[in-house]
Amino acid sequence: MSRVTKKASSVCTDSPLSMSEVCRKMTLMRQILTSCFGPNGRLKQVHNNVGGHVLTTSTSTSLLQAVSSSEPLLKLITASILNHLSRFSDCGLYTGILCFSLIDHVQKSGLRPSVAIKINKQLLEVCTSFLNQEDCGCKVNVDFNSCQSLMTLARSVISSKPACVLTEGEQQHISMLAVHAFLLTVPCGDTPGSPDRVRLGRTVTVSIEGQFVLDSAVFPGLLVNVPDMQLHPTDSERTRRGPGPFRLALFTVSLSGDLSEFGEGSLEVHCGAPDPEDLILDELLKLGEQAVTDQVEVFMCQRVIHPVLQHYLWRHGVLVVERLGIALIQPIVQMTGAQAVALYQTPIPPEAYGQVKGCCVRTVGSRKMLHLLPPGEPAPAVCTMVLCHRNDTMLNELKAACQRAEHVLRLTLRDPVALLGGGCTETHMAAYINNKGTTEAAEAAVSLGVSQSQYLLGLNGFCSSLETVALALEHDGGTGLVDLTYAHHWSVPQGEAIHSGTVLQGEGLQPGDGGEVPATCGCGLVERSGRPGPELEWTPLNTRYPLRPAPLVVGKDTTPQLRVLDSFTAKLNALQVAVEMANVVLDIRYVIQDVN
Amino acid sequence: MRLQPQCLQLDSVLQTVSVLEAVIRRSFGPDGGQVLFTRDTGQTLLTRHGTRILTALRVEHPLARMVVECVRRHSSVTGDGSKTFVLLLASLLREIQKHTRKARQEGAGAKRLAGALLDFGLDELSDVITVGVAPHGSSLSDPHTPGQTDTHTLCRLLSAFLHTRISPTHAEIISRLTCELLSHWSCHGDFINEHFPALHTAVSGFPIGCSRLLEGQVIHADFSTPLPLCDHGPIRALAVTEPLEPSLLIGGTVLEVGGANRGIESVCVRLGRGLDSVCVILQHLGVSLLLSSVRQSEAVLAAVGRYGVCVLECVCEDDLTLFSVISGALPVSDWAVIGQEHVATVTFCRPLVLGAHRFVNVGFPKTEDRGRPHSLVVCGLTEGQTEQSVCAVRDALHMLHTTWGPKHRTRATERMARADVMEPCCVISVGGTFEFLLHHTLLQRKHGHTHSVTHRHTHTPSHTSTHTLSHTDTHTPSHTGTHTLSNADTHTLSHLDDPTVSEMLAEALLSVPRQIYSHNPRRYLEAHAHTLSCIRNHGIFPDPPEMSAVLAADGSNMVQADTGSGSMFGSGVKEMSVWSSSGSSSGVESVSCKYQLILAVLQCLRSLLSVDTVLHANSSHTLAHTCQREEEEEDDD
Repeated sequence: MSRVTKKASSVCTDSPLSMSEVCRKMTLMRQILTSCFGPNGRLKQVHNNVGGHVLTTSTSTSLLQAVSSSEPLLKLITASILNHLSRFSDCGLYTGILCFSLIDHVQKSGLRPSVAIKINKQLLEVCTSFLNQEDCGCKVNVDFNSCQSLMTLARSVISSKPACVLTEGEQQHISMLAVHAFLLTVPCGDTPGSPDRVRLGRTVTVSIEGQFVLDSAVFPGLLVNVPDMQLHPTDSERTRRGPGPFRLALFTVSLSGDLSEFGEGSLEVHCGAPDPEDLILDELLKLGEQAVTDQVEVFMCQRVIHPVLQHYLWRHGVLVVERLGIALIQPIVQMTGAQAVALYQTPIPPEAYGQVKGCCVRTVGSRKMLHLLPPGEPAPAVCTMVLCHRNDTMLNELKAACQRAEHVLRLTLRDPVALLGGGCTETHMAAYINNKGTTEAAEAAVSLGVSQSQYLLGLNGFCSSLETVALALEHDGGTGLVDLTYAHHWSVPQGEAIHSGTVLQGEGLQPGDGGEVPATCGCGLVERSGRPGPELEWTPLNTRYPLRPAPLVVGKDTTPQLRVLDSFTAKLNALQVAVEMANVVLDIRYVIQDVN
Repeated sequence: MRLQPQCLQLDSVLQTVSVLEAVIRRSFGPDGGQVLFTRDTGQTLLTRHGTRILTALRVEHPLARMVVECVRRHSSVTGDGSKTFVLLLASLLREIQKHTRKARQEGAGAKRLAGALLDFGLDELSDVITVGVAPHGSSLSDPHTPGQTDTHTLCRLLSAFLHTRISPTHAEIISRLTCELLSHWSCHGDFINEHFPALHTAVSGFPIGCSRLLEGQVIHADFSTPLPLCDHGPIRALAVTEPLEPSLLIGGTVLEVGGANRGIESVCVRLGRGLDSVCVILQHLGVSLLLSSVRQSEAVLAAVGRYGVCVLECVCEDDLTLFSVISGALPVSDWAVIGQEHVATVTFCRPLVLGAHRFVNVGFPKTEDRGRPHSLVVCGLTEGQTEQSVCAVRDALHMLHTTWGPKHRTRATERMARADVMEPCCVISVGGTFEFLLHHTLLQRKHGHTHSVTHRHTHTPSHTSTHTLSHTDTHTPSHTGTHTLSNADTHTLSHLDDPTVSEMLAEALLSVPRQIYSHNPRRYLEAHAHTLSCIRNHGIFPDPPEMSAVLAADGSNMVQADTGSGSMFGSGVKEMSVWSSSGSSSGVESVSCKYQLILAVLQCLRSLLSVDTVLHANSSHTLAHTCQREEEEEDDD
């Protein structure tokens, strides 16, 4: 009974959003997220108060997992962002910045939360239906006939992780590998049995520290870590380049010959009776004999193989690999078509054998690895990505970035569209909503049961929040502009005197005139020169200037070089998550903390 | 021991309840918001559920704990009304305080008043509601085919309930899905209520708009064997609760090797052969899907995999029960006896990825009696949100159960020996209509009472429109009826305080609509005026023909009543529906839930006010006991 303690009363906070302490914490979190955003984002070092590992990162996943807040509201927002990331792997910082910004704007506007929630909800619907339109101006189709858009997608993901510390060329190389690996895992033709379902292959990542990034490579098939001693001298000749395929047997049961699988009871051995371990070894050798007669060339086991059996197999020229670990079993099964055998007492069923086209020893960095080549078509493709980097921290970040990129590329299979990156989607969408909302304000206000001025206030806050995200891409003191024709985002480097509220005239800026406005917009779709039609005009972001985005007509022959693309699926979900989360946080009237 | 002065006591009770009320008020009504709370485990949860909020407070004050306990008990029965409970309790206490202050010289103690209120509630309230409120309501059952549920009304009921529990933007989606779920299951509300744990899946990380219904059942387990990709035609499935291959040596047994047994190899052979025989049985029955509630050994998985059988391991108890209920097949617990009666037929079986989890979706052939089985997938951004939605749907089903449920037994019904006093499925528009109507009926009744008090014991039927025959009937036996109250109170006969009591209750009831329209007092007046005009218009309109069907269907009480009260019936409904379509609230709420709520509040009030002193005992036993109780409560959540 000494463990029974009295429960303390909970701590209650009334209207948490009006408390300065809570607001301070939220502002801090917002600043952290904003400063990490984009390819020029600032890195964060996270270390705890007892020393130990120091994490250097700018990605939302690592950052949000490492930084935990005691503030329940922040916990809630963090949890929702992490949940989003676990499904879509992208746009985490975007979600956070937009969410905080929406909350901030509602607080500043002084709207009643219930009113603001209704307006936000309605505007979100407008946004999603706009993005889902066929002729939406910030959507491009992903063309699977060329690698170009896939490469751009992958590079956008990888370049937005500055903690990987990659040069331009390295970014290009890694993006190429990511696209290569992705293409290898997409099976050709129909999967036998179910024409409507495609089973994607998988990429196994091997990371090697201390090598140059440009040494990273992608191999079809699997690289299996094999200790030196296991590669018997005879195996070097056995790097079979000869005519495959070879037979492979895969075991998940331990072939060590111990009696551990007999449950918890005890075993009593009579005097003079044969030793049970010998009997089991006999069984194992029988298994080996069968493997040899069935012409198995590669014999693999997830766990340990008895040395006698190993020796026996070696003698008969079989390649033996033990202690594979559970992680490799599924890829091997998928690649070779083998069935993992879980019982050694019965003979191996013939259909359990798998096939490899060949195998050879590869030296990757300092490690020697056994390379299993996949059998011919149409096996579901499995590939291995070897990633190299100079140190551990960067390597981890690179590994995460590549996994992100792979996930983002896979999302395009379901929905083969991408959104313009570089802040252009946000500015374009903000302009669209602002235009639509202002013209239809009266009807929308009536249908929501709010006054028209309230609606316009809410609309203004929503659009500003979207533009804030575009502005967050800028970290070096530069300014964000939006052109008045297409409503794309243009970022201007530091040092240019642009006063808010003034509209820059396009003809007033000569090329080379300090280079105030870059040659192309954030995503690269709109070029400043060599474009038919009237000259462009710009205005700084977050100055409410009524503009109506025009659809961009792109000539078929001169496809502009898109520089940045974002995942459509991930961003659409991120937008919904951000707005819903902001609504939830605004709706919270009371916080009750159980302090036991 | 000296008793504390009564008025001080009442003040402190009121103060305590007011504190709870202040917390609850924040999330009450259409403008109410959410409450975020963190558990002692660090989990953050969102809620608008009154009981949840009150228990999360972990109040220490004994009286407050008593109130929280009352609320919890009430809401565990009806699933509804926990916030209104606190509001009503606080305003009743205020009424009592006002009254005792005014009439102290008369010696009307708070305890006596509470007793009188409770007596009134138990004896007469049901009649008052039948007369004054029920005619304005509509029935949940379809007016054209009695016994069938009117889906439109059902949707309105559900949506109004869910609006009080989750944020309005989510409530629309969730209530639509719940309605569809109910209609897919042919409105077997109780069945869904019972199997709800297996019928829903919570997925976090997606916006709430991704919530949907899935055909068939979702089994919360993944394939342990790779799925053979041939799902054409019906699949035969078997549910098992035992490992296929029992562990060779169970703890404590001894295996002797050598001697008569041939040795370890024979054991191994037997093992393999045993497995093979099981596989042969499976093949014979044509089974290609195994649902196992326990983990099977790897050898088993490999063996049955070769025969083309897929296995789902660690299927939870709820899923397995639902599966066998829908399919009508018994789970296998003994391998010696497997027959056709264990084999279930499913129409499809496909893997399903929901968020981070992989599940399996199975479909069942059509049956007439139970409609098409569907499962609910609830999405939310965080676990806190999905849990809130799931909890709200669960309580909504509970509330429906109360609305539909068999007539609750009250003292009044027992004494009257009439089966059906109040129609159980009666629903009424939200937005304080119930409170307004009851308020007026009570006040009118008070006037009628003073008017007819001399006729009372002569059993003369009263002439006021609200005073029906059934009312006077109740009273005569109440003097002889058994009182469950403590004998100290038996001298406070309810009819002595009747006018005051009904006036107090009437005033207290108004606090609820006042809170609903707290941000807009004009709307409050409008709503009030509208209800009044409804009452006034009663006798003018003729009885619409379709309403007489309901009259005949809903019970015998109207047969006894004069035809005048019958004619009020339909016009009220019509008025209400006109008003509700023009007004903001189109939802309805259950009258019987409201009735039970008032009763529960009165009971709580009575027990609160009968406490005069709080003793702070310092015994470890008591402490342990209360802690244990709290643990149990947490399990209930």
